[in-house]
Amino acid sequence: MLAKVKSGGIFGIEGYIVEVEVDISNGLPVFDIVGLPDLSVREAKERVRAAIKNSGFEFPIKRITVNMAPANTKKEGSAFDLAIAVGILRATEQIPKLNNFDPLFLGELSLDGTLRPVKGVLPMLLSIKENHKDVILPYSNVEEASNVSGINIYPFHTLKELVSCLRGESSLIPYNRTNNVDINFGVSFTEDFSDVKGQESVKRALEIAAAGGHNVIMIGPPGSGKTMLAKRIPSILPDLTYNEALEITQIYSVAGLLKEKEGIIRRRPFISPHHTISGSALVGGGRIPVPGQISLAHHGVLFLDELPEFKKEVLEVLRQPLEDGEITISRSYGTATFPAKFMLVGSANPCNCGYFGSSNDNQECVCTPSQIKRYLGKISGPLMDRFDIHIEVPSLSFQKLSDNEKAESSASIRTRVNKARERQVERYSTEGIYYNAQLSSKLIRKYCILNQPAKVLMEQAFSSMNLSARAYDRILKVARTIADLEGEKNIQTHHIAEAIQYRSLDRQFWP
Amino acid sequence: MVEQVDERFFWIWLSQIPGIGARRFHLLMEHFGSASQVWLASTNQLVELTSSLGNNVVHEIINQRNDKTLDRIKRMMDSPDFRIITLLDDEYPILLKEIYDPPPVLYCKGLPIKNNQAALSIVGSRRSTAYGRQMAEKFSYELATAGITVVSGLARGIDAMAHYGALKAEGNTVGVLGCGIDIIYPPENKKLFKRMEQEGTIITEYPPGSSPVAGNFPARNRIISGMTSGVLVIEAGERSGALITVDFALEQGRDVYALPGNINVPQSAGTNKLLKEGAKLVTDVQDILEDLGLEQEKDKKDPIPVQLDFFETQVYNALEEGERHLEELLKETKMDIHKLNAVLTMLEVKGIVKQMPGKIFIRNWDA
Repeated sequence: MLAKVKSGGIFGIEGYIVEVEVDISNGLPVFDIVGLPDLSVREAKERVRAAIKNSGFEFPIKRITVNMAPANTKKEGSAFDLAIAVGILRATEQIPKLNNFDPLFLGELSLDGTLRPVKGVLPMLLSIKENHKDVILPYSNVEEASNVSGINIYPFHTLKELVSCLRGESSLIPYNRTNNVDINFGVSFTEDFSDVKGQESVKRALEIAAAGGHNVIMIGPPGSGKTMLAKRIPSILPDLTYNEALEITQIYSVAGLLKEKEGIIRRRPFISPHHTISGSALVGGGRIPVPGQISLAHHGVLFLDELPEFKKEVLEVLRQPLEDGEITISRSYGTATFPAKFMLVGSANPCNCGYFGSSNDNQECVCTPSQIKRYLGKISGPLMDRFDIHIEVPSLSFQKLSDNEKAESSASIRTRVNKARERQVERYSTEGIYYNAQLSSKLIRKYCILNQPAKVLMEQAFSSMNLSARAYDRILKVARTIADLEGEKNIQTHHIAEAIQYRSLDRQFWP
Repeated sequence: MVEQVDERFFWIWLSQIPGIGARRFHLLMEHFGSASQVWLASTNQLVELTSSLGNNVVHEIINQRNDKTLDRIKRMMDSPDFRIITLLDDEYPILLKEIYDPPPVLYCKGLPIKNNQAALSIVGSRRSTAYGRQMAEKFSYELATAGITVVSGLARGIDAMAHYGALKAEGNTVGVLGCGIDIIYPPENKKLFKRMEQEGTIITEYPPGSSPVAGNFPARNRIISGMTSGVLVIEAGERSGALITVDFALEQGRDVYALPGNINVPQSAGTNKLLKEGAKLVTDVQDILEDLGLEQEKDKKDPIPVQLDFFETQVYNALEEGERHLEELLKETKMDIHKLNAVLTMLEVKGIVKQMPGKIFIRNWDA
């Protein structure tokens, strides 16, 4: 007897239909799975057998052949357990064939027949929803699946429950979803900007970075709080939009990082890989492509602490994602593309000993100017170019200045950031970009026009401060964001004046 | 005539023998009467001096009495890269002749040393504060403008800024090295070196190829103080090498000047101590010029009035007592950070304020 059951597979972030064919014939009792299954799929045999038996159904002592079409694509994971079990039950006529009902079956099986959650449900359903409207899946995945409109979701706890339904013993009703609430409602952050005393200059720079999506590099002596500040950046980034949240959730689903019952991720990620990380762990890879750290940072912050300590070859792989906002991983049997649009935040000591620029009491830099140049020089030119904003984080002694002052909360800063971002989204609605950092050279000419006094200031600054040519466009972009924070339509002189302060590394006093 | 040339040749030969510094040179001169006599002396006569010179030096002298060495010396004298001055020559710094153990031979590059004008040394820590570096540049500039040759050690920190100040004023400056004239030390002063080769003067008593061994520097300091009438210590910590130069200056009967420093800052501990011990306190270049009889009408070029608005004035005033960090300025002026950032840029562009690494701001001394 032959039965065909639909299931779904995932490659990268794209889902595709897997047709599970089950053939039961006379012959020595063997159970074979074909169609390039990997080990976890092959182990389904044991799970399916036990689950069927323990659910009170009959497991055929015959020759069982399961084919997973298309047969030339590698299959992996435990999501096919349910489809295989249902296929066997249908082939042995323990479940009737239903007319006009050919749903997708997704789920891992426990030995006792309980349905366990699977990875990648969201992206899979999003990919195939055009042509497949019915899905049967484990209850643990129902929140996640609820994000996909236009399909019927039928969640179950156990195989027994499902079979009972398919036999008509109980009715098959689609899951009743709750309406999508505002995803930003009730989101709180454990780390808040008000935890940081003083450092007003740094906070201001981070606010500008958050508003315009600018990449930031923070330079400061050890212990100055660069990591503490970086961790708090997500709390001032603009509110997540629903689509952004959906994208993040898809990636985390594929990576298997969605928490139990977590339907959608409501917080921007903060990813901070150690500097010993390998290239493939950073950008993604593996025999069957899995998302790397940069994709896990999608729509969030990728924090590279101690940037000069990362291997050059590893940083090289960041080029494509920084340029395109996605990363393509090629394998002999296919190409997977993962989104990777993140705010890059780097931190570094100014030099080997860490104290260059700390001209106070106890700390003195013992490096020569060429040592200093060499240390930061470890960061390649093209990568340095990615940072629109340079922040010099002061050493601890300057921070003690504001012991008793009440510091502004993240929520308050975020309000301004949100408004500034709204203005950008509106302005660029026809250009396909969403924030100032994305402006290309051409678009900068269009949207960052300077009035005469501002032009004059730029010229004066360039000649007296010896700024490098690459600083020009960056200053314009940052000035554009500063103007947006003020709600100004046009860039004024004082916006340029402030933006210039964020190009420390281009200045001649830096070796 | 011929003897004079020969003698000079042998001076150079004798002085470059390893182990023969100024003191031993003069000792040999006294004993044999002339450098050429050292060349001609018998082995026995040289061995007699083993107790005062040591075995190694005696052997070196003997080993270097051959044609090969003569050729080498000749080639050195013909080198286009540098010139050689001996105590016998006109260009030799006049004041330096008076010290206890003047270097018999100096290797030089750059402009000729001007023996017809006053000279002053400027020394200080290699690890100076921004204030120290600024003052070095300022005083050097002003002294050079008054026609005084500025002498220093081409080290990093105060020395380098002193040379830059004099170069900025298009005046004369001499850098004294602790290594061979063909070696650039410290390496990061390469640019300064190149400038000094064209617009200033570089001298050293060490033959080409000599490494900047630590022991060379105290000896070199005696030349810095020896060729001038006084030493100005800009900023020095308690254990700074600059204080060695002061010791030599006192020995040589030269004047010692010092700038008072912030009593809380370790980099000024040495200078403040000197003042307690009697160095002349200097707060203005006139304090030095009057000693040299060069008191001048302070160049009252009408300062081009720079217009500062209310906020710029506030920030300018906050920098009255010296360098300040951005966060300190924030607290003091109570301005909003975006306003302060913008104001600082304007002040920088106008040339009134200078920014240093670490977001430190300081008034420009030549504003």
